[in-house]
Amino acid sequence: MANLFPKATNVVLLKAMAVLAVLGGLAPLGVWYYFTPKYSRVGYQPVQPVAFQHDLHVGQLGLDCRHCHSYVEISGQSNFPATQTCMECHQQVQQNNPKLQPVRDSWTTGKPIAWVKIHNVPDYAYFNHSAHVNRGVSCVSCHGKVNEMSVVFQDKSQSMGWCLQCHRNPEEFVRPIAATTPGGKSPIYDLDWTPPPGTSQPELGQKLVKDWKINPPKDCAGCHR
Amino acid sequence: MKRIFTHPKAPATGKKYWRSLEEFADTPEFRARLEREFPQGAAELEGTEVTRRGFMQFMGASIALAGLSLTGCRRPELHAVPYSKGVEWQVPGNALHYATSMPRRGGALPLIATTYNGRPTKLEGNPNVPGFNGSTDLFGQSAVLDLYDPDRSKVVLKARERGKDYAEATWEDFWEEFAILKRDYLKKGGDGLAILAEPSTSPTRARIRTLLQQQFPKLLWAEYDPWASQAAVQNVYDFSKADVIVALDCDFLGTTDGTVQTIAGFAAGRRRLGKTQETMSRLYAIEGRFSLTGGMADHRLRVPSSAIGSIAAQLAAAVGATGAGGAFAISSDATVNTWITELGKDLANAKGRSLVVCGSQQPAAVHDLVAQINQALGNVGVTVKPLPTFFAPAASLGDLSEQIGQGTIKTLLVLGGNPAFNGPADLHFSDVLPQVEQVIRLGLYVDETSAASTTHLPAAHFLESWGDSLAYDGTYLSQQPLILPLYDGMSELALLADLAGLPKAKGAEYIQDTFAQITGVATNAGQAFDNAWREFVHDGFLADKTLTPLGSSAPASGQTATPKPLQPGEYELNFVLGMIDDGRYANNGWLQELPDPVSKLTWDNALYLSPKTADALGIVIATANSNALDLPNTDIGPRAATLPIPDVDPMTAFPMVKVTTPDGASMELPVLVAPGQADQTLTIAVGWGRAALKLTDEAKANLTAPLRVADSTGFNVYQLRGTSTPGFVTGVKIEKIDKTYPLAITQEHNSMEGRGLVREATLDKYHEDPTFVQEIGWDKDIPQGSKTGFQNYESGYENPKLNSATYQPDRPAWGMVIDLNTCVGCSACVVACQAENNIPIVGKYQVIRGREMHWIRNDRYFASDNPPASTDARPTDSSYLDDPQMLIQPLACMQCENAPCEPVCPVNATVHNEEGLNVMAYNRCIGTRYCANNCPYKARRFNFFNYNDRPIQNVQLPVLGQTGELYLGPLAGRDGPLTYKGSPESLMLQKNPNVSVRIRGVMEKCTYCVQRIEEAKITQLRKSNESGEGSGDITLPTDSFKVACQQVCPAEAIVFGNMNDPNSKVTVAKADERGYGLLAYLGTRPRTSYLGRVRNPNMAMPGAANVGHTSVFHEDAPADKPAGTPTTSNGPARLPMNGLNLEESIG
Repeated sequence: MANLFPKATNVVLLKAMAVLAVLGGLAPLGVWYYFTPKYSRVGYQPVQPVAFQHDLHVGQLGLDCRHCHSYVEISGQSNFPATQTCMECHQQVQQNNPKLQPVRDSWTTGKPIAWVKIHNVPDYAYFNHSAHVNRGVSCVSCHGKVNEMSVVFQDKSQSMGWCLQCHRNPEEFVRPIAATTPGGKSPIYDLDWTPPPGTSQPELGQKLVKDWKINPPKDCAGCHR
Repeated sequence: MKRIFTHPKAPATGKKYWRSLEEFADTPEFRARLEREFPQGAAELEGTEVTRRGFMQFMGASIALAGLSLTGCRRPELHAVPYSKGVEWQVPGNALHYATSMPRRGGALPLIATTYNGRPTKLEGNPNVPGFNGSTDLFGQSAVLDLYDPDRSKVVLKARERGKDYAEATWEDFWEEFAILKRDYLKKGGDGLAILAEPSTSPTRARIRTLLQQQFPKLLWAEYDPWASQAAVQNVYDFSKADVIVALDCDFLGTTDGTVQTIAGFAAGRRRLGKTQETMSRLYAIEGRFSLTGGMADHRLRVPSSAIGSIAAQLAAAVGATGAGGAFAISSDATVNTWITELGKDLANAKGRSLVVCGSQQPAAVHDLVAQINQALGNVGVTVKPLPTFFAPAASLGDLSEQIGQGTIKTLLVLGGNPAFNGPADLHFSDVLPQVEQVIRLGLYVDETSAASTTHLPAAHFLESWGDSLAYDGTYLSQQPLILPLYDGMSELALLADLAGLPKAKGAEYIQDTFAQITGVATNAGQAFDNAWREFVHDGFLADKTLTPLGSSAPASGQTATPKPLQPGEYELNFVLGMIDDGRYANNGWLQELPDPVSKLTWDNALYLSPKTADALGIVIATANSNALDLPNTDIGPRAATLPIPDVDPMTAFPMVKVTTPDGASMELPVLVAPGQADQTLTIAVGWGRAALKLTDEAKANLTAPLRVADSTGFNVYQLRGTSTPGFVTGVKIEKIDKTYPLAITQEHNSMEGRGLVREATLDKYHEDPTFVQEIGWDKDIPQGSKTGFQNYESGYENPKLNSATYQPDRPAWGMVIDLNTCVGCSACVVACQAENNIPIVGKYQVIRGREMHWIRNDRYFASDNPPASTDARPTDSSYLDDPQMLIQPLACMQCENAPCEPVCPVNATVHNEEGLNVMAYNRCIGTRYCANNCPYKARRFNFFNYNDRPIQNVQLPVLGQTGELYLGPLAGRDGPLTYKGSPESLMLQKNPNVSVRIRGVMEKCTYCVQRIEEAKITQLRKSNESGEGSGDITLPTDSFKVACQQVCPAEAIVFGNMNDPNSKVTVAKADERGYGLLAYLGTRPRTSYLGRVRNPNMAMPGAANVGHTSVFHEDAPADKPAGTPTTSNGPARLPMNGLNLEESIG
């Protein structure tokens, strides 16, 4: 009987095994890289040009989020504050603090401060801040308790699946916009807010979803254009 | 298993609708095109430009380079850079809108500019200015691209040797020299000083000119525009009040002055067709080439342009106008005579309700005649209003040339324009200019005129400078800068003001002074002036100050020069404006790639011939055999000469002819056989064949930017156009030569199969049966149910099911209606869509392959009698092609409820949303192109290359050593092989930040401007929380926003809105009886529907029986039954009940 397989087939198995070995070796590297928070960026905490402390300004001094991020209610982008905003106070307060030197430099030269971006939504996704904060989504839902962060880091993965959790079940997240206690802050910007005693988030959320006709887009065009 | 759908066959008799000569002849090549998703060659890499082996080499090199650095593995550190000091009004992420205006020939166009972070991205019409409908035209839409054009001139240049060697200079150098110059001429009273400017309607310029002439009494002020009207007065027309309109060689729906207003008025006259007042205007067109106006006409007479004068004289006699100037030969043609007689009767019946208009390039004597006709008909003051002469007369280019010839001019300032390129051939202005000792030229580009100048100054774009102007109807408009000059340019006003000794303006001082004069509010009036001025700039116009039109005392030119009638065997060469105006927009890629609305030609101009003329010259109308490519080296520039034309569709090789004028000038031009063209008449668009100044010293190439877009496109036919013959030249000789030239024509691209695509009827038929559209095509076969017509197919799609219980009625249901009765085909929507949706241009050779990216296209159909089946109606048998009618159909994605593209997408990149949009998730698309293959409307476009990142210029391939128009990827470079990345930065500034810029391998299409829909919804959400309690109304207000194509449309032919809102315009339009869905019998349930066209023929006219008469009406039992259509045993052919469950056969 003639040889059914040519001689070259002898090495095919060896070659295949070698390829598999290489791939098998690479697989852990892939998992190590792609499956860790470093890839999804949760915990990303870059060093900022100015060591601004949210815990001090918001947590202790009680500044409202909107004091600096002033356009969050009217624009798709929540703005970073202009140097002017910092200088409102720091012309009087901490005038000679060396940590604030970059801010004073920016003010005198007019060159802006290049803050490092922590939360980065891809270019093909059109997230709109004003659509969220005006409909009962608090800052804390996406950014975590920034009021307790000394150096801000990314708290949520902000992947598409994560977005859809809320778009599919908004009642688990939406809050009233008006203060729930007399003289209190709006729950949207009060990152420590909890439902008033006697109510629960699902209960409150369902009522808001019904009253406000909340129906977040779940189709592609809601975010991708 | 393959599903094959057999479209109904066209009836063998009656009327036939066709897009091209090949379709008319039903050639096998055309059949093959119909069945393809894209034209032949579109899906192949690059024809023969790159071999497979070469491609692998190239890709291998790219991968090797990519591997050199691993930085790509980690995300880069991104920065957010806020302002250091907040900018007034500026909210990051939100657009700001400013009123401004675009200076144009005959009058400015009022605009609202959208800016993001200080960069203008889109221009819209100013809805508050009366008469403009808030709409713009294609030049208004494309102006924003000119602003960012990286090829604009950027530095002051001083000639060492004119046209050859230049050195860079600074503005300071220039001002220093200019001050000396000014002092010298002040002493001499301006003796030897001349200014050549473009005509302008700016009152400020007129004011500064007066100042100049006081200081320099001997100054020669000349003005030149190649397309300035020959008429003695400027008329403002009101087409909406006219019942009978006659256009004499006047394309008032296409390329004349003030088209936005004329189209708006005309459409209003057509829209009178309705239930309450069932009448509409009637349009007669008498013209040489088939223009858009001819396409809209109810009756069209094809005559050479030189015969218009005698026709006007005959018409004047017929309506009893007196004192006709000029001796015109009277036609002996019986048809023409009957035509004129009947036309005269129709006009006489509509006294005071009619309008006769005349093309701007007809001799002045013809304009006088037409004025008398309107006078006799009592139209003056009603439908036609002559405007007073607001601006002082100026010397002509001829006067200036004469003075230069006598050596009296020592210094010439050339402000804008490009007379060296577009000056009359007999003046040889490019040779005259170098005789002037000192020529200072202010221009947007370093162009032909700069090459003859001693100093070139970069000009500021109108979006970069302060100004003012009068609109076409005399409304006073403001013009404010949207951005600081990008390329260090200066405005014309600033230069003139400096010469006039005015102090340098920090802002709008010159305009404010004029404004004070016009309004009578002095600039030092404090708050009163501030308020008035702010209101003017904010609104963009002055509400109560327009020029008062003259009465019937409008002056006549008094000229009597008349053209000689055309002799047999002689030809007339006819010049028209194309998509790039007179050539000034030649470097605008949007306009170059915009198909001519009638011929569908892109990137070039070509000579149009009638089929009969072509036959007489022995030109074989393009067939599959004409692929012998012989590219001449001289006329089309280096690109085509070195570029191997790949093995593309042979239909793109066009024969060439040699045209010789009586003056002896001759040119070799490609020809295009144009149905509907008058015999013995050759028509060509001007403006192409531009050339940038090229320096002999290569090292200084960066001083002058090449016109990269305009480079090697078309032919400069200004060489054939003389002073006395601006519109046409008679006695031209023409001979066929043995050469061909490739033309990129889109007329057959994306052709659809099927019947009843465009539907029309006469007004009488409409009165008799308002639902006539249902009789055409297979609409009667669509299952009848509770609703009428095409709405009856059950929505078979589950994602979500739109006509079932899961559909939420409180969500909007977006829909669109396009009225074929008012759409004139101006194509402004195509450019508006391109600007709004970041649609790239692809280049001539990509268009030849059918890869153009326009999301909305205008299908142009010719309609003629169907030849009997026994005739072998090859296109050379011209009897059916000579005098067709035209219909235009804008077509974008239909947003089908049963979208055939969706089930075939393997990755769910195209899906339906709850509002009925067929949305695209670009980042999900993997480019299988199955969806485009399955789209019966061919509305999808594929990014075969990374067009947005692609160099405009031809480049040397670093690996293959070839030159070509090949996409090279991000590593490609013209500064060096590996340094240059993609698109010039300035062009990125134009992009709409709300729309993804698609990359290679992604399918794209119209999504009803989903970014505008989402913005409107979010705005309403924001408003719902105005109380801070979050409980407000989230329902969108009725018609609160417009989509881009709708917003630009001067005819308001496109209506978009929420079909669930009973008060919206679209709901009203959807209820119109003329409504039909395109290919509705397929069961796709398109959300875009059309309103059928109605023509209003005068039954007394010759040939009236054929006008608008459609015989492709429904036949219950077609003799020639479509194969494979299911039938019941005895009954007529019926469609299957479910559109998706079509005929199945083994394939």
